[in-house]
Amino acid sequence: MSTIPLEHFLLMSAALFCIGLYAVLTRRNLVIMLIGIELMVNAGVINLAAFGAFETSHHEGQMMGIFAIVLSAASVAVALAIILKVYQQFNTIEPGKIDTLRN
Amino acid sequence: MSVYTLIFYFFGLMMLASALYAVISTNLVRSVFSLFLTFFSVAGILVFTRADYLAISQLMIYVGGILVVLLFGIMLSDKNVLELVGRKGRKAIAASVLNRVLGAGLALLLFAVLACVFLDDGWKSVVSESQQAEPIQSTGFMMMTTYLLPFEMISLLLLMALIGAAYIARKPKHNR
Amino acid sequence: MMNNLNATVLLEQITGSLPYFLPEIVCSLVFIVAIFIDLFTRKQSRSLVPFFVFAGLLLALFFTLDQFRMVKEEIWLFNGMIRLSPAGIIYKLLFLLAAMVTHILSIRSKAIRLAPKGYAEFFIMLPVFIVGLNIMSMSSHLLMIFLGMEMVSIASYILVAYMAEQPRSAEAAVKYALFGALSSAVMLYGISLLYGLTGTLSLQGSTFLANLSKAPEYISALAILMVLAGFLYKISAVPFHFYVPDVYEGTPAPVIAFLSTAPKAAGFAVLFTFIGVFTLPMESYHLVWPKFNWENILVFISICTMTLGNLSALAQKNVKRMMAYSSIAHTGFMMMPLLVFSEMSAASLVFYIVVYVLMNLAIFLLVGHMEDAYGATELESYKGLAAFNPLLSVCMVIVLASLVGLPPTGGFTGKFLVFSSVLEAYRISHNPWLLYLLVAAVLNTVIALFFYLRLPLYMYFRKAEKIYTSKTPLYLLVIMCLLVAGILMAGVFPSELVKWISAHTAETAQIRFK
Repeated sequence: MSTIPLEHFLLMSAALFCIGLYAVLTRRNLVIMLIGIELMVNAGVINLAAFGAFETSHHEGQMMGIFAIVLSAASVAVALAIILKVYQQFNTIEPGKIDTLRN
Repeated sequence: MSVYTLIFYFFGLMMLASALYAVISTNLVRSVFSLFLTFFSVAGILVFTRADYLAISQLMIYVGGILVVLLFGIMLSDKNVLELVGRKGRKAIAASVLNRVLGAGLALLLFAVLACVFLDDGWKSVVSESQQAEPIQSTGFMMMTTYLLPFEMISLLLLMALIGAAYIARKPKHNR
Repeated sequence: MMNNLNATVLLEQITGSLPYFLPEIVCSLVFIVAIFIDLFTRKQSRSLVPFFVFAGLLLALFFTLDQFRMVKEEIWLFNGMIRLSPAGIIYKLLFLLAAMVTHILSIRSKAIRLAPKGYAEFFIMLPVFIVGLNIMSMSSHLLMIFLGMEMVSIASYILVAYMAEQPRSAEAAVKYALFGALSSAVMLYGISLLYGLTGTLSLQGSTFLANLSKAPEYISALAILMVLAGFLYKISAVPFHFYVPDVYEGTPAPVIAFLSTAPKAAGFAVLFTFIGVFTLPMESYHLVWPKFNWENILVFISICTMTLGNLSALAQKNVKRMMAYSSIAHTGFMMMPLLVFSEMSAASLVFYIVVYVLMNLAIFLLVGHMEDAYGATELESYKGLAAFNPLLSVCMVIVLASLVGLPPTGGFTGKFLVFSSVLEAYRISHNPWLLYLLVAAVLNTVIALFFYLRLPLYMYFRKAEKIYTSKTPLYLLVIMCLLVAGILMAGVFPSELVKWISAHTAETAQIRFK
């Protein structure tokens, strides 16, 4: 069984991270922004698992990955509940139109 | 190239393509379904790091949990949310194009930096070349010993998030 | 590989750690029991849950105070996951103090009491919030740092979204939550890079730093900057500050009194731990940054934070927004001792944070009361309010003087200690950036004078448009007097407090500077 070099894992995670960042930066829609953030978390998890596989001592990376997934699930639940409320108040989920608090 | 590596690159390609589609699609439901593929492929890639338990958690939590929550969130809101791009003036379209170009530029810049970082030989000094499989028993062992405190704390956190999300999403009673 | 001997040792560590973890255990149990009380008594009695939670917080306070007796030096608990130090207990006391003041204010606050969906959940959140803050301030493992920060962040989103039936609160909450999730995603990526570079997540021992020194400089720089994004968000420093004014404006004052103090103090505690890892123990105070000197970056961020906070505060009409920028400016000041990292700066940081917590609790108590009693949210509406409420107005002047940093208040002593610790470090290292930092800090104190004193100007020297009749509730006066007394004590008799704090922080610093 041949092995896949570490760099390939890392490059994939970097690409995934940047796609997520693009989604957040363009700010088209709150749900899409949340999706982008989740992609970034996934990129971090791939990184952790890849480093964990190549690091011989404790496999801490895998444990950290598990916790990171659960934590992001919790924050997605809360963030979606808030987005739902925003939709009920403003009737839109476009960040540009939700703008009552100003200097 | 063996079948093993072929499957890996297939998953990688699928992950990136579906993530890109999820991000640029104009229909929210389509992008969530495309996200299903992304999360599934991420789990596939995690299998190649020999982190089996992590891959299973990814499937259960992301594909089974987060996606369903996302879909519920969309279904609970109105139909017209699903149409992302409404009717807009020429100015708004120009602004959104500029927005996208800027976003894409920044993301590509970061990717270039990260690619430089990852192709550096610096990692070689830290990581070893031999991959070791992680038996699932030792994951459980660590969960119950070294990582017992975070394990307990995360259960507390999930309970808190559950109550909080339920409270926020609940509709107020009108008879109060 | 999984021999029983190893398991026994690990489990003994855990059972041995439990007595040192009592405050957190109490808070967790209170949280869980409170949920059930709410479930079964919701119909009969609405005040049972707040009462029970307050009793639980008192019990946790007792156990936290007891830890001063138990803990004389740093101890590592739960197999190196967290580290309990005497300085950490001071932070834990501050969190409990902030939570209890918030609790009392919230019971009486119009906004929370009249929340359309009931208020039990608000009080249920408080004990678990405390657990998160304690974990965050004690953590010595990157996993625990991340977990503690997420716990605090998610609890904060929930508290901010508590009023989400109003558009402004919903908007504030969504900005807060999405931006927080983004910064923690970036931080996770940074942690993964640090893990790749060092092969360990534990900050205990020297493995982390030794391995990091072998890595190429620019990679570790990138990783550290990404992790810093998470910390800077938590302490609301530039450029991760812009959500702050919106959140403060859209959220009830008692909630802000808590969110502007406790999570920020915890953020500084964890940042202090994190920076401590990267500095080598030396004979002098002089710091060694073995890889990638990010001291100057932090100096730059600190200068930007205090300047931007103060200048933006000058332009504000809304009092809560003004106080939001004021708390950003204070973040800049509190970052100063972090950069120096000497025995003295450790004490001055804790002193400043203690005073900051007292000041911010007091000011948001006042702002909240003015809003509830007189409907005053804009600066204009504070006109002539001093005539109706002489005692609280005097308190307000004292608190504002302390926020500026005028003697004889605690704010002055705090600024004095911080400035002198930076000056001392400059004498040793001759880093010109430290000098710029000092100059910027002094200039900022002068700018701060102008916007803080606008408030008493309006209250005392302008005519009121309406006649108000409103009685100040007794509980509010008592808390207010206690907080103001604390601020004045810290200013008039600082030596005792400084001595007490440095006795607790010295031990942490001595290990480092042996």
